[in-house]
Amino acid sequence: MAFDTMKAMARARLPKLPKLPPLPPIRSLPGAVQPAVSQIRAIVVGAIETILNVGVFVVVALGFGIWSSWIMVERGSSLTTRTSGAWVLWSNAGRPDADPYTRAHFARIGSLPPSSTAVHTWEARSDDDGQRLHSSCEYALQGDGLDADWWSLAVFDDRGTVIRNRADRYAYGASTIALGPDGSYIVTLARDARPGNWLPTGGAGRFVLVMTRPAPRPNATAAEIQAATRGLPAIRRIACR
Amino acid sequence: MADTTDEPRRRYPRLRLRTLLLALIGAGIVHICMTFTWPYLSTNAAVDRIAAALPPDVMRALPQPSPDGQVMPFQGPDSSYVACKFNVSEAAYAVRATLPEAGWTFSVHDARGDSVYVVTGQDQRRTDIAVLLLPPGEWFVGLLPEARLAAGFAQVSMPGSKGIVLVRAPNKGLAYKAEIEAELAKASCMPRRQ
Repeated sequence: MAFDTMKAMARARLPKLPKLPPLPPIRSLPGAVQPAVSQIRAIVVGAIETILNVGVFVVVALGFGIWSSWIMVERGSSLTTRTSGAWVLWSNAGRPDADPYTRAHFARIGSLPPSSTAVHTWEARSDDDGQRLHSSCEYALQGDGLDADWWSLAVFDDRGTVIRNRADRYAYGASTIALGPDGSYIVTLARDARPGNWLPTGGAGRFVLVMTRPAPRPNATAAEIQAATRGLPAIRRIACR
Repeated sequence: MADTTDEPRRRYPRLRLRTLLLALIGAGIVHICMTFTWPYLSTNAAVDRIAAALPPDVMRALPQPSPDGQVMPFQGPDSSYVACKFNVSEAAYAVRATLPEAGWTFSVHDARGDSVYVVTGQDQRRTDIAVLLLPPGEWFVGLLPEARLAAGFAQVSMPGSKGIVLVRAPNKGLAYKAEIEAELAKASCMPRRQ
């Protein structure tokens, strides 16, 4: 009650302000001013529109163009590569009639791959679950059916250099791997020594596996081409530090 | 009364469909240009690295890869290589090699690393290669006196003056090492002047 009384007294003491007339809407501005405002607005909107459209054009054309080219050159696509699990093969590597993506891929890496008509060079940069291969983890590579006279499984760091290790061991091949009685094999990738076939990966960070094997004959049947992917090992992560 | 009918349309800037279509076309052009440009942007060209490790005009064995010295990235420890760097601006080059079996490859690369000429070994058959590397656009036809240079050789006109020849042999183990090295040592590469 006391508060209401005080509020009423305060209101009574305030001077009465005159009521201001409402502001005229823009449309009812004097005839000479309205076109000028519209013109300025049109110019500003037009300028912003031009900047927006030019910006979108530049960002989409440059950004999407460079990004899509990079992806096609770095990772390849079904047009240029074949995949089997985590393994990727550039189908036209080292050939005079190679497509521009394949040429750019190997030029960027700085390597001269053997012709894919004679040798298939499969690369794996991730395990079978799609996780990037890393030297802080231990992996088991398991496969069978490698009946060629020669093949090799090598490990490189991300820049394509063999990984320094005390055993001076950088690859396994047909003549050096220990096969099981049924022709299957297991290779362990780990920093520290492991029993059996062990490829050291110590300190490499991200690394790349490269499997080199003979290509199918030029007039190979579909079954022979299919068989050419047999023997590519599954890559299973065992543990990480 | 200046464009009162147009006013609501121009209140906010619009993104035109035409811009998006043009941007997609532009992206396609940039994509093509970049794909052809990547090889020129590479600072890690394999041919440059191999050429730096070789004397000119001689076929030499490349060192096996090691952490302390590797001529090119992803150079397999599973293979042996001999290579020769050439410059056809002053003379044609006669190159000979033999591929004794499948898995062996002979390739001629231009300065950017593109394969210009490739021969692959065949199963249970020796492949003898004799190639004459010629400057860009040149070709020795039978009627010209220079043609005797090319007798018995396949002629390959190079797209540029510099490049390398690479012969690769798969390592099949210690038992075959001496045989493979002897076969690689027979490969030759020398300038041939009239």
